[in-house]
Amino acid sequence: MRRSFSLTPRHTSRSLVAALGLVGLVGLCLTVAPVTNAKQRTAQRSLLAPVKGAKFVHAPFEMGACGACHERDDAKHPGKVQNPGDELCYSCHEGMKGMMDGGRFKHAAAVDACTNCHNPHGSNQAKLLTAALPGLCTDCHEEIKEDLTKKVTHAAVTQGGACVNCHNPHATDVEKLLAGLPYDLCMGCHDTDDLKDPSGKPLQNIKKLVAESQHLHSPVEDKDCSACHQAHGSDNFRLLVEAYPAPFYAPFSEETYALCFGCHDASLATEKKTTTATRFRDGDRNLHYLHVNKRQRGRTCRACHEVHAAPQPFQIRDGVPFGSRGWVLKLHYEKSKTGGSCAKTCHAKKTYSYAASK
Amino acid sequence: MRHTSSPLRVILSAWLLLGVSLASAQSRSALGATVKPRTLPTLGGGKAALLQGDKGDLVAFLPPASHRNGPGALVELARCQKRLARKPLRWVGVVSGREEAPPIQAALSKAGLKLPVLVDEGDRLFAELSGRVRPTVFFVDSKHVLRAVVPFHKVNFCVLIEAHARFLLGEIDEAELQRALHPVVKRPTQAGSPATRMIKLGRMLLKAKKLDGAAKAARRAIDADPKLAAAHALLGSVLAAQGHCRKATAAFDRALALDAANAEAKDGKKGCRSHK
Repeated sequence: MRRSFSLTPRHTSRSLVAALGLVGLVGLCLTVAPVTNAKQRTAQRSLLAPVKGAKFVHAPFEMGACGACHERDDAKHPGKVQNPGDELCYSCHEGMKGMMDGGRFKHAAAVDACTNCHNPHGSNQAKLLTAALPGLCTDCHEEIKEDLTKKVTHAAVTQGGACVNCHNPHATDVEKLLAGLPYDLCMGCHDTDDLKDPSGKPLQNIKKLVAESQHLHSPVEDKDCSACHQAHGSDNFRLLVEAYPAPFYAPFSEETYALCFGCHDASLATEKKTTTATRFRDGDRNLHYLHVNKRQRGRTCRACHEVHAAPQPFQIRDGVPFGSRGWVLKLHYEKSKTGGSCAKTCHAKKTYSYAASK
Repeated sequence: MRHTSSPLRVILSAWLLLGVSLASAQSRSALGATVKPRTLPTLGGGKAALLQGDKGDLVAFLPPASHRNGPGALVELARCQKRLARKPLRWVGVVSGREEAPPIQAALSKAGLKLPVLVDEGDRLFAELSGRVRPTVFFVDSKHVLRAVVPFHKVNFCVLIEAHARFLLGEIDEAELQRALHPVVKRPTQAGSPATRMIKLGRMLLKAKKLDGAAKAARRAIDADPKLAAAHALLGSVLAAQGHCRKATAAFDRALALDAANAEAKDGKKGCRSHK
């Protein structure tokens, strides 16, 4: 028997609701779904029509040499590009081919096509870029876009050449397409006494400090500033990648020192007694624990250690700024064969030895 | 910190201090020191030798599962292991005796890092090798000498490991090792010569008989590099094509002054003379 179905008022209302819901759902998808993603925008950009009145013009286009790249030397009907892809560009830009071939790490966008980033006719951006930096890069590198909106910003990213202050967007021998090792790049700016952070506070001249110091923190020795700093932007002070207490005193928790414990074992500050976690101990009495591991007034690492480099072993400071008036608290640290001593300001001279009996 | 003690205790402490110091001096390895071969417990419950490789061992002290850099570092080590897969270097991992096996095993599996994992009870081996951070990779050669130490780097960790591995195996020399460890800064604008590009463009335009454009390109090449003979020679060729032989000859002469062997300038000058 053929089934028949007729719309009763009850059925009608249900069906209508369902239909309206479906329409609404489709409408919602159409409004919230991205119209284009970065790849599609790149594809659109790669149409790369000439820009009228462009500030920067590609020389062949400027001189009417359409045949340099197109089928015909006819400005009105140049035809297709002869050899789409980088080889056409390399026929003049030989140096770029050398750079691409010589670099261990290559930018996928550059390997694919120069026109992913450059307009071969003209542009209002220098180097014929299709868009201004950093927007051109963050169109694909969306996670970096997020970093740019964080609390602490980095002038190297927001000013001047932006991304290309540090990156070579073609090919390099350093990961992340860095133009050089992080330290070598950072010292391009952090080699002066005049630098200030976004709040106006003077920044240390790191190059000078390192030059004057015998004992370097391993990441500095290894030229790996990115071990501790997030160069794009961070919610932590001094662009640190993880939490680290800014003041002299801080309540202890492993989370508070997440930056340090990203590399160093937390046991150096969590174990009251140890013979392996640290050599800053008197016998097995862990002196890091004694100083740092307190509920309220734990001395932060910077109370004794210069984070980047210092003339003394273990980067022990000569003195540490204390309070807001610029007074320097001297440590008078002296190293011995099996330990050392500190004489103070905080306490009378105290000596320790990791070889002492327990 | 110090307590008053009886004379006997002082003497005993002194002997102990001496003994510990001597022991520390002997067991405390540093670059160039010999690493004592030994057998250690494995994560899986057995035992294995620390040093076993015919050509050398890559001893990787692995990060605790909870370390911020842990997962990323393990992925990097796995990537490096793949790159060095055909090299005759034995990979061995070491974890602190404080770590629980299941999270470590899970982390290794997730990262795709395949290697025997030994357990360093009391972190003695780590202290002996003067380890400071984890992960750190120690390179020990076939004679059990500690040859290199590579602590974790966020950038170029695998580049460094690979360079040290290849150096240990004699595949690269000291100079190449240093180049890998200290790459030269390469800025994007350092590639190629604007003058050379202008010359190429100019020649293209000359061939297409777009002489005004060719002249413009030649002059730009000269502005970019006034001492480039080819740029002056190109200008000469363009001027000659435009029928300005006197100016062309002057350009050719400038080219020949910079490079007496410049063929374009020589031929161009001859050509102009014969047209007179």
